[in-house]
Amino acid sequence: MSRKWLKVLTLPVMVSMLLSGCAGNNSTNDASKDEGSNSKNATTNNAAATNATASNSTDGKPASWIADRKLKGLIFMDSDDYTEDMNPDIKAEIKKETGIDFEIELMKADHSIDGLIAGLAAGDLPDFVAFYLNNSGRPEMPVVLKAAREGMFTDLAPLYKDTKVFSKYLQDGFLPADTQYGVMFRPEFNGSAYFTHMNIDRNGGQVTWRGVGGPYIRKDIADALGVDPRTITTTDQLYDLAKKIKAGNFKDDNGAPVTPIGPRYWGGQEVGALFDDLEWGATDQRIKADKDGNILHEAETDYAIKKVEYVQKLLKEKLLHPEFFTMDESRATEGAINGSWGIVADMHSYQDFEQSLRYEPIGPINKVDGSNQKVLDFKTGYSAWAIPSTTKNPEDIVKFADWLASRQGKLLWKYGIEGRDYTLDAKGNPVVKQEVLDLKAKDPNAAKALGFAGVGNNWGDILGSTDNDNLADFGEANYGDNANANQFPAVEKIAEYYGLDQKNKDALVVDAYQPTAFLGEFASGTDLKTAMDNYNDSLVQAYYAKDLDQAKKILDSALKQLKAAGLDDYLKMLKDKNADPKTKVKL
Amino acid sequence: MSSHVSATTPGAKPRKPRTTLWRTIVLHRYLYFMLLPCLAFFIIFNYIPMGGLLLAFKEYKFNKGLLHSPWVGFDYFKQFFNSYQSKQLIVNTLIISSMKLFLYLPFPILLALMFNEVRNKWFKNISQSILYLPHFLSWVVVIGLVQRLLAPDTGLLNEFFSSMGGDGSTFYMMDPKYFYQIMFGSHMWKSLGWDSIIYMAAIAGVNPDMYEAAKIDGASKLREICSITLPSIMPTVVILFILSLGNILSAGFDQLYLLRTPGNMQLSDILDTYIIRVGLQGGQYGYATAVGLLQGLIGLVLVVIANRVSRKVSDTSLW
Amino acid sequence: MNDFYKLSAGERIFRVVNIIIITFLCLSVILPFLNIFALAFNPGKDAERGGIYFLPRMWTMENFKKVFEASNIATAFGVSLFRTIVGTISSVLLTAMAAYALKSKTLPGGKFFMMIIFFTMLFGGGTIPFYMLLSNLHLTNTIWVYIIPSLYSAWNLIIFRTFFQQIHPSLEESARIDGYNDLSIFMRVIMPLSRPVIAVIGLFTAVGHWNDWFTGAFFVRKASLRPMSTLLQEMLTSAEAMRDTLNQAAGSTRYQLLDKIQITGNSLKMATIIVVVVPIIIIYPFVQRYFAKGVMIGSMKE
Repeated sequence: MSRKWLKVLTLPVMVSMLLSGCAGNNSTNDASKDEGSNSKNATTNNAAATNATASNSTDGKPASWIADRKLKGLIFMDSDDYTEDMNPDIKAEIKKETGIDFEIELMKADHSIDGLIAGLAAGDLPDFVAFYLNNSGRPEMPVVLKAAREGMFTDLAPLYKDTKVFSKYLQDGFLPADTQYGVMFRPEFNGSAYFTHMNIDRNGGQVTWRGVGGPYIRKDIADALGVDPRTITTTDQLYDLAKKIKAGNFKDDNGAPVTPIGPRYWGGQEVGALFDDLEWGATDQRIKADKDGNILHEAETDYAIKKVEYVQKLLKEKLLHPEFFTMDESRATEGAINGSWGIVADMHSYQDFEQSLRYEPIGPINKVDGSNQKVLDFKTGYSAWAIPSTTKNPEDIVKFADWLASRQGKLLWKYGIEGRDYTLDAKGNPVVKQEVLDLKAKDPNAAKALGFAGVGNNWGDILGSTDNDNLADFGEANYGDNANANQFPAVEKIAEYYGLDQKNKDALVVDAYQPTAFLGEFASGTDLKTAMDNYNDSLVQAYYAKDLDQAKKILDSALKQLKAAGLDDYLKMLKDKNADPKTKVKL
Repeated sequence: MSSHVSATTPGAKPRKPRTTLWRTIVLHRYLYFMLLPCLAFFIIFNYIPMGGLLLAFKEYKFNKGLLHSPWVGFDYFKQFFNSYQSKQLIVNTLIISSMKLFLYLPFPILLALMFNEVRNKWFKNISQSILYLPHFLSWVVVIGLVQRLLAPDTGLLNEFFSSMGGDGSTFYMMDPKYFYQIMFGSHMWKSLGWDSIIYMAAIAGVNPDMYEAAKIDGASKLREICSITLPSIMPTVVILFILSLGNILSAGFDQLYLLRTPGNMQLSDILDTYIIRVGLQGGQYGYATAVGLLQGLIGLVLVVIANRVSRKVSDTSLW
Repeated sequence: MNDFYKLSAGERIFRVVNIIIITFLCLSVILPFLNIFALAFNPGKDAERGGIYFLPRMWTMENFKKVFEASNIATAFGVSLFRTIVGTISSVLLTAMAAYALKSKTLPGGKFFMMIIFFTMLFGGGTIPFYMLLSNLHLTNTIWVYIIPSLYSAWNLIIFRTFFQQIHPSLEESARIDGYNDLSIFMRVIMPLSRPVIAVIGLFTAVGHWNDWFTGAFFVRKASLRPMSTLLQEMLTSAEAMRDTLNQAAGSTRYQLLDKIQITGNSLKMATIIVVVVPIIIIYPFVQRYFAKGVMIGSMKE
């Protein structure tokens, strides 16, 4: 929009403001003042930047010094982990070490990606932006990709070269395939990279998280029935178990009868881990290769109707909670805490209510191919940041991110300030102070104000969480372990019960793309995505259909839609992609 | 209506035809003074951003801006009408919004009339205050309440039926049979009290002398309402109705988005939810804009027709 | 109620039925609200056990304390209050003025202006062009973004105009004979006569300002400029939105991410709802007075 045109139009606005009284008057003044001061700011900023480089050689600045400037980021992520208020001590520490005055702003609204688009269109973004992006198949991807193609972001590849941590991104074999070729160094960019994918582990296939997730059964019920839940490995056994729970007439904390199988702790949804020998591929993908290497969608296999038959049976006999797929979170949580479900479809061993070991893990249920080998991703990323091309001296941001990703930086944003929040042991590893742990347990909000990741304030994640290996860096896998805090007494017990270590050792480590990762480049990708969503909905509809015939009809029409949206061509494309070593697909 | 106003307004007496218009404008200078900021406002805050409608015919590029992005003609419209969903979406939207437009229309008026007949001031104030409360709850909260009320087995409604010896396991939210009732009921619950406020204000403006006269004539309550109250508030009713016609192709995003379950999706998918879904996926702004433009166009046609009919029949019109 | 017994049997039944229906409607609203109240005054952990309907199991002010301790709630309250008061007064005055001008059937161009204004109710350019405009006008990230872009509303203007059209023209005529110009007629004759409609539009505008969360979420980035409604909206939907996103991500990292979302407890949400709703409940009776019958005695057209 032309500025001249706007200036002409401001005239009537000013008239209207005059009319609305002095209140309006002030605002016009403010606006014009702003304009003036903005340009002034820009020049002073530049001056400051040159000053900083000049004074770099002078004494008194730490080795980590970057520049005396303000860095402002806009975060498009919905998470309570980030707060705009930084702890003043932490802020001062950053300033002292790097000269950076760090600030973040959050856009938490629904569909906050719209805010990113609007900001891009208006050329109105701060020094850097960060957004959610776990793989190249995410809905955010086409938006940021479009922006990158149209020159809205700064090329980061040359800026990585002089860094300590991010230079690893340039080495072969450090990044997982999807991050390397799908997100960052896409072939179309010829060696340039416009987004930095974050949260990449230092070593592939490493499991630092000690929790066990999946379906759990109430321990007292399993004991009363004399069942070892680890022996439940097929859906048929699960059905028998549910029938026994039903026959056992168990009661929950409020004295109401127990529902044999209840929804996930986080609210109703289809849970793959529960019906695994009837699931074709992951529940968010539903694409898998059969024994002969043919790539198929679940809708094309008989697993679809088998699953419908099974779920209908469970529903009819009242073994599965009727709202299993749709229940809202608060009620699902309520049920898990009150013991209202004999089996909780999905939860994990770090959760507060599990620390008394009320539930124990089931199975795992075998997959369609009959194995129950754990599959681990080589590495995965989530969240990414980019620098708008309007930002001056983008190298400052990369240097700052590099500092945050260094051990020194991580120590600050993960553990806080030495003396105040932790002490160092003989090996130089942080030992969290007991009073911080106590405060965290008693008043999480007050603890959060201390301003570092250990107490739930994750501002450092955004630019600094990558090349992660907590055990090597700080001598503990989780915050507080060195202090022997034992915050999660159930975790190790469940891990041992479940045989977590053995399962991790035997796990298959895969470095590949999600099957749906290529929808963005597929010609009728939007239609196909809609048809895939429609299939998911149709499946639930079929579970609740009057009889199997009606269910079949529903599934048939969903399959027809998939075909019409180009499913066959997409699967063919997956086959070609899979043949290329750079784009192996997780099938 | 006030057709004789012109005769009494000073500027309306024509002397020299050539200067009449100018003279009229000068005579109305105060009115223009009152109107000018308003026009400026609508031009700046509504018409300038309307340039964004160009996106319906363009492929938006960040680096080229709105004006220099390449044209795609009617591609987005073709894409929409070729999409297998478009017919279903339009039908669903029309059914839902017609229910909210036509079926719902008498209820707030009825409620306002009922309030008008309450003599106990104390009861009147309290009940009004209570009935407009739901307006302040966002749909997330309202649908949450609905889900609890209608939950199979544990919901209040099902518990009631099973205590009466019936079947207490109906999954109302999943069954398309109950979708319209739930949609309409929750809409009514949330909006009824609030929407009646405007009619209460209209009723407050009716000249009490007319009721006195009717009382002397011995008219019954029902007659009083039919021949005095209703005709008096008719202009308000008609104008509000015409205005709402403009939105016939938007049936309320938040409510429908939250009510949608796999079970009722053949009925609950509407244009607004579709726009958000598609607009978000891949940032297809042009496409979303095109569908929005269609919604506006159909609204415009309906309003123009309704306005013309209303001007002929009741002498009430927007312009 | 004295005259109740003087009424005919039919009218008596009519009145009783009337009151019964209204009472029934009120109950349908009160009961869910009691549930919200009960949850707001009940300790959150205890509420997770379920079974709370219309009374808290144990009373606590803890939830409200937490709401007010939340970092921005005081400033957010101030922002909401400011925009509601300033926004409503300026908007009602300006909109009424324009509506009065457009009421005149002799105003050259009046019909055309009316169409121009009405047209804006049907078409909009979408969020992005609007954002670009606000950013070019330097309105984003200022408190004025709440006031200026909503100074006029086409809907309110049309309602005002409809009501003004029903005021008896003889009142204006006599004022004109007394030497009033259009502006003073508007201020001294029309405005005082239009109290019910001013009250209604004022209420609608004020509530619109109070409830609007979108502006605060999209056009303002400074945390100190966000109103209550935006905070509440974030509290109600953001955790769910994030969870939707995460639910699509498979693998063991998912659990760690799920843990990061600290969902605002139901009790805390309910307490915030009450904090947002109560100020408006308090104001309503004052506005309601103006709907009382007979305010405009003799002023409306017969």
